[in-house]
Amino acid sequence: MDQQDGGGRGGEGKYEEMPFNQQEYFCNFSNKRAFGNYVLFDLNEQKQNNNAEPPNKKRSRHQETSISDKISTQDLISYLPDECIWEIFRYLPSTRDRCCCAAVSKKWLAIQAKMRISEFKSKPKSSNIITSALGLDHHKGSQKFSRCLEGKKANDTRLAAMAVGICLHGGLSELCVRGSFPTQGITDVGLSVISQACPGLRSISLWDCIKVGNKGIVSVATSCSSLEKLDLVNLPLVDDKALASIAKNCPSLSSLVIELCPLVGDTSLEAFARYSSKIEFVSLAKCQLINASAVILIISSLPKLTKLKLSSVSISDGVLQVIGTQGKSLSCILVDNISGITEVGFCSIGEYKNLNFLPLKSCSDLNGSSLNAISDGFVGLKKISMRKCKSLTDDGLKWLTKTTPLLESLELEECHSVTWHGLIEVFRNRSETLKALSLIKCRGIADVDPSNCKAISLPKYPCLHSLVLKKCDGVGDTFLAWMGRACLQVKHLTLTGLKSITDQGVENLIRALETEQNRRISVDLSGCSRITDWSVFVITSLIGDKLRSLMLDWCEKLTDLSLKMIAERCACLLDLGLSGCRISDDGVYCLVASKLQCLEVVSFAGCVGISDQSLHYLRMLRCYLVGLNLMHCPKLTKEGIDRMRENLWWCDLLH
Amino acid sequence: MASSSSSLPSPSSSSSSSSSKKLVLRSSDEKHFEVDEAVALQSEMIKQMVEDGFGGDVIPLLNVSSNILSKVIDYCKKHVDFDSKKKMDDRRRWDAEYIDVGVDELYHLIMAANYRNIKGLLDLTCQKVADTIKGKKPKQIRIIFNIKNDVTPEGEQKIRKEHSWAFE
Repeated sequence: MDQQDGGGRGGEGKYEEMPFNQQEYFCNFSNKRAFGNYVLFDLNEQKQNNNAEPPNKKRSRHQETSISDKISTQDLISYLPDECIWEIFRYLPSTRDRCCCAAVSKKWLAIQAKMRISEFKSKPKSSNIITSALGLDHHKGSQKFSRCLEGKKANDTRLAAMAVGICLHGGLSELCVRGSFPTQGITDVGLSVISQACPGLRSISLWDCIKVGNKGIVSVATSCSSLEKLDLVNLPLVDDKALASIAKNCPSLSSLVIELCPLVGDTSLEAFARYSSKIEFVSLAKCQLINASAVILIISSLPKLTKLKLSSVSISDGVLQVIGTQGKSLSCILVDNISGITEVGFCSIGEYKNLNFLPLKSCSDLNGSSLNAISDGFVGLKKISMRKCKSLTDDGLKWLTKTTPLLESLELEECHSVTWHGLIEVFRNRSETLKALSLIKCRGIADVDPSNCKAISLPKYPCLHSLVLKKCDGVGDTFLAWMGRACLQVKHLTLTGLKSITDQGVENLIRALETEQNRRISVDLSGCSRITDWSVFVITSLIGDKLRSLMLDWCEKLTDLSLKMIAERCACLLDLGLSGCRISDDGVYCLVASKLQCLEVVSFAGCVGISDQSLHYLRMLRCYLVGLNLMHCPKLTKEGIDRMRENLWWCDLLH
Repeated sequence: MASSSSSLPSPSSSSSSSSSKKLVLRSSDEKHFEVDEAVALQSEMIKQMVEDGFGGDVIPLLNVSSNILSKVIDYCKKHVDFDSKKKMDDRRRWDAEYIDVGVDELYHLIMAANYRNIKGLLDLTCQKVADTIKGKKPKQIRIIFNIKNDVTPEGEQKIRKEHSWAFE
């Protein structure tokens, strides 16, 4: 006995003499699994000391087993080291259990978020209920999940919760974060949790995530090697180091958007030019550190680059010259608010035959004479889009369309100097090829003078497939009647925000359409506040059976009568918008009583006449609604909406 | 449970008749346990220490109290027996009876098993906790383990929304 005690003391003595610290020795054992730090974001408030010994309960074992058989008397389990909780979770592979554990406490959520499928003791069975509830499409076979987090939803807790639920099903393939609440937005921690949980991510889009820095992006780079699409907009902390890592680790990258990243510079582009041979689309905007030399480098190095967007970047004619001489497969260059380019530059891309789309925005230097000067070129151009080019005149438009033999699409936005004289030149020059015409906020487009209307009438142009007139204040009924001749074959008719057009104009235009042919038509008359049920009568009776989409949002004079006609005559309608119209429960009842079977998306936002009774009718619809907008309908009750959500759980219901 | 009493703190001289090598373990409340080396070596930590040349000394186990240590030794002893006999059914039955303890004691066993790195015991205890959690709702789990709810109602709503089907 004595000997034993002596031995014990001797042992202690020896320990004291040990050259290393005994505590350290034991610590090495308990940490030998080298577990990562599981502290997530705001968990810091409640950071617990894992090694702290909780107060010992002096009770007999008999008592312990009987009292605490089911319930613990104190929160001992939270004192367990993370690795032990992890060990426990390894026995709970089912998604249901995982989600419940994740909801218990922040600590548990943090641990669950980092669990990998391979770490579980057994493989979970994915039941049908779960997969369908998660929106998994069985028919397509491939698992494609995409999630978009916006506003207050865009935070680390949500990302962690997502990581828990979704990684069992192959993970997300698309993630989109729109952070508009800077104080609680996502951080590097959340981004690395989700990227590690979803190594199959193909598309990541981060907007206004001002807390995300290099760490988060690097973690995306190392975890998601199959990344194909990356959008980074307004990330003030991210610099070249992170993007170089993306370039090196994600060889499949095909689309890259870098906007408002003040720390990103030429080094990033050099890395992409070197490693990312599959890139097809690059967009660079408002990055002050990016210079022309790096842009030239990516144009000349990336073999598959077909689309390039440059916006508020300092470049020069040299860049366009390189496109003309070295661009390999580039077919679209979008130039926005670039002031360093002159007609010399445009001349050099004019010779470049692969170019088929040229969008120009805010290029104030471009006027009629400069377009005249480059008239030799643009032989391959199929699509022109000009925005805020104030000096573009009817003359310029004439030259432009004359020298672009393949032009199919012309978009003009806020080009106020263009009038209908210019449009006549466009139709004269390109009547055989032009398929789409879009005029947005062009103040110069005014009604044709009725007196010489006949003299300058358009010949019939059967090619136009799409006509867009948006917020052109001058457009009235006469203009529409005049345009009618060009619209025989139109499939997409968008006339939005035209405050001066009336039923007469709509009727003239619709009557001009050739109706014999079998084609699908979509009509958008949103915001044309003067039209009445008569327009809807004309539309539904003449082309009702061909309508795929009918948007009549904020046509405030429309009543239940319109809805009744639509319900009776538009059998294959998919998309219907009647927001802000005078629709009541009776109108909705007409929908239910009708033959409509394909309807997928309906909007009744701001319809004050709609009550819970309408919800009852909508539940009886025979179609498979996937989208339903009921925002700002004051008569709807919360209970009604909740019941609706339960019944139509697959439907994206906005309220 | 009868066997557990035999391994309560006891003078080591009584077991000196056994031929196999002995190790002495000391609990946090200063009690000494003499066990066969084979039993002690169930713990990876002790094994490592013995390999590093600390076998002849009293091995201090700072975080383990005497009643938990005796329970742990029970487990190790039994499993040394089982390893030699290879009777899976017996082992399972014994394990089930052994682990039928309260949540608090379970906690101390996990801590001990983790700290001393006894894989079998860690698996057994963690499995037991997992079984307790299985199929329960977050609220029930919090009650069982007396966990303070640090997820704000708003935060919980977020998690619920993300997996609404799991809470039905």
